[in-house]
Amino acid sequence: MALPNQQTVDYPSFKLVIVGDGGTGKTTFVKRHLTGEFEKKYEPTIGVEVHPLDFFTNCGKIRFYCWDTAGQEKFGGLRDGYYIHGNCAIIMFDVTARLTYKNVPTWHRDLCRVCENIPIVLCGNKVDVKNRQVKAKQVTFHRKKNLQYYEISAKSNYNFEKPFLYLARKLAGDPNLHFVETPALAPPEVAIDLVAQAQHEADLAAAASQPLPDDDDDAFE
Amino acid sequence: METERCHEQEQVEVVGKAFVDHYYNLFDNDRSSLASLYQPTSMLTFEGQKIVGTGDISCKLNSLPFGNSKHTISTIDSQPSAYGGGIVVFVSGSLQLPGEEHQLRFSQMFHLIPTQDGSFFVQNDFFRLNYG
Repeated sequence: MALPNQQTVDYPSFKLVIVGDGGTGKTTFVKRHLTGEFEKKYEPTIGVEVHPLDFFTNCGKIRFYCWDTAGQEKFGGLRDGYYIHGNCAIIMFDVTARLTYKNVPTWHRDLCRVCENIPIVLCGNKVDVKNRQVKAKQVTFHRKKNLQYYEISAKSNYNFEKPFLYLARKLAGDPNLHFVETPALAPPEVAIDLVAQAQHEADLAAAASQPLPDDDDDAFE
Repeated sequence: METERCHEQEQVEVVGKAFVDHYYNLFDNDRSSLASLYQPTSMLTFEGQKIVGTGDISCKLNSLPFGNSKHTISTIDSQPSAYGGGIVVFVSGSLQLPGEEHQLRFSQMFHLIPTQDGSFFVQNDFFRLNYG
């Protein structure tokens, strides 16, 4: 959903709400997409900046209107107006700050209270940082709630497209949909150790075959 | 009688304004010192979360995940409360957080109660961001 003062398009477009603790990198993430950054609009009554992010698929163009807060989440939860008419969502946490992962269930609950049954991606950001506090195999929340999980690094563009591809496939109802062109991204600000990250991805895949911890959302201390 | 009431209202406005200047100066530059403005009976409702007592209120304010903020006050309205010498202050304004591009709008209300040494403490404090 575009803002009233924002250009609409004649190809499929969806409202994507981005939630998660302050400082997890939500704004940095959406700003990587350069055309979205040029066309973003701010709505002061809602306190939201909306970035229109276009992607090119084998079925044509798709646009995500990415809703990003002006920092209200640093004071507590967000208003319902932020979530209303959300078509899909990204919940972000910071793998270098344990508390931001502990708060994921709260963000998920707040989101699902307003947006029932929308596709959701959980993103663990800042995987380029050496000193991780949340290891890949400790991330289990997505398995309990049937979310997709991706490890990302906004500053290095690592896995930038993955969440959007997953959401596009769900929204289009086409598991074979794929991107045919890469959107213009801001140049990487940091390098990621791809060997170490490959190990994290392997750990994640191995953990997926393990039974889930019994006790619910408090399992992670 | 009429002039007395006028004078009282003036005093209330002066105290309200002085308090607001002091409160946001501490909030923006020395947040941990805000504890000195509360007492064990004080109540803070912060974005709907109810907190009671100096310790918990101070803990809440100090745990907000940002550094030095900058409040810009737009309006201050003050009234005498039914409690002898008490003052109710209603504030609106905006605040700039470090690293954020846009200011946030807020409203805050304080109920100030006189102390024995001629100062005031905050008995009730309500804070809300103003968004739909």
